[in-house]
Amino acid sequence: MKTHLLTFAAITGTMMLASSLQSAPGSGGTMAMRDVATHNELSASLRMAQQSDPIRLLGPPAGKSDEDPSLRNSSRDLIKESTVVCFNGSLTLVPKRAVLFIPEHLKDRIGVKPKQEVKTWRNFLPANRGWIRTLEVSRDQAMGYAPISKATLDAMQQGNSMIVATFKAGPISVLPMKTEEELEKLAEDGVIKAN
Amino acid sequence: MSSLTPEQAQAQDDYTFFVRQLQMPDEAEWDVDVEQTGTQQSPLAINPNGARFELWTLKADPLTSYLLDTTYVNSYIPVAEINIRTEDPYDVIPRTRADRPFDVDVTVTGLSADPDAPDAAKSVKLLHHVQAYPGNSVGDDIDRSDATLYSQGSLADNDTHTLNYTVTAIPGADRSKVRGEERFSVFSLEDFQAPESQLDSEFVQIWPVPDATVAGLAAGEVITETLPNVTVTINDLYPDSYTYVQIYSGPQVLGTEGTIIPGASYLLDRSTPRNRKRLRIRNWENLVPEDGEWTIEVITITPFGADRLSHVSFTADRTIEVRGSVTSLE
Repeated sequence: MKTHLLTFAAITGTMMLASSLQSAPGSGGTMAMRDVATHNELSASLRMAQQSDPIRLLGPPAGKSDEDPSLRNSSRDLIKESTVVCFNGSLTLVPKRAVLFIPEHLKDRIGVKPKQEVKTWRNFLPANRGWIRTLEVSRDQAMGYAPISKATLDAMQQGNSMIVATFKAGPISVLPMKTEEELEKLAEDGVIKAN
Repeated sequence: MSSLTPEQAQAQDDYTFFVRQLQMPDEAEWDVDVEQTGTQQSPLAINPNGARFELWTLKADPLTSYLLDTTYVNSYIPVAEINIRTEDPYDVIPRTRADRPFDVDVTVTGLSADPDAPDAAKSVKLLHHVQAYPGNSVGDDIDRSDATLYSQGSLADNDTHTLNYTVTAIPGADRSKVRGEERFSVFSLEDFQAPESQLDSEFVQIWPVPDATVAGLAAGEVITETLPNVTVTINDLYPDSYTYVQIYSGPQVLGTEGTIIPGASYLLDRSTPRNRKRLRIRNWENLVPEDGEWTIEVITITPFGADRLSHVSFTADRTIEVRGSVTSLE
């Protein structure tokens, strides 16, 4: 019994058990104990709690109350929002649109494969530099406010490596280049500087 | 940089953490190059429309992603932090039991007192969602868009607000068998720059109250021969709990410390409940040395203290009384 007690205390990180057992079991002593809660007791507790719900007592919410804003992102799944890269027993994720180019012979390295070790980009890249090259882009290029030069695009499409866009070493999605009209609107809104 | 802290990284070696920054309004996505623990400033400047930071963890086989935390930041948007406190010291995910209370601290800072400031700078919205886990599941594959918005309100002052909950509000016909999660979220108000955006969110997992049945021995039974084999079935054992069967002489008295029946104890060493465990009691004659009334009880010890799940009192009457007389003939 003592072995069990010590193990339990170690797992929970509390001395709750020690305090509830005021003397050794079997001693005929007493210990703090209650009968387990029943459905009826808990139903009564819930009814009382519902009458004084602390958030409802705050009054009606400001702004819109007919829409649940949490639904906007609750269905997000990082795997679906990413490109999965697998090779040699390791797997990592990069944001969609971060892979700028992949040659035909490397396309089977994209997608989920079973029994892979998940690695962060910084741990995955060093072992795979033989076939992955990174292209450091600017913030404006990533946001679609500035183009990547044609020379750079041509060069990477003639190589044998997969090209991943990075910003400060982290993979980043590169959005399609905005149109002139969109850029003008962004400048009006102060998002980008006017030319 | 928002305060996304993957504390779980230290406890869960088979999980890999990712911090993703989404730039509004187009949600260009960037994986922040970070250590698995620690803090740093984001080098990617925030757009005027703000940015959302997401802390994810990934588990292999099958490849599964879990959104642990999100934070939205903008130039004038207030900052919110939610902290859920339970009686259980487990620190990976806040957890408690369907019959136990918990507290939620919501700290809001950065709200403007300027009456001319945008509404989004003057108040935030607080949401409370509840969601039951189906069957005996532990919430691995739930769709959180199915959660029920239980209540919502506004906070308009820079302060820490403590919300006290005496019992879970997760839906379920049997209130003692509810399992699921309650999520508290703070959202900014919609304005011309950005939609309502989550500033912080945290959830607490609620596990069912255990129960136990004793088979092979009926309450009030008088045993005149060998003590019977008894099977104790325990359902919904709480994570990291210790459950045992004890025996003592006399009628049942709550709080009595008896003798733990050898082999009739179980330590649950894992982070989720166990649906069912059977303990078998055999050859226990030596625990009932004298005739009379005896009681066996099923006790579970958790961070909430000791709960008696079941008890059965019986009478042992094994002494053979010979009613007769000896006579002799002379």
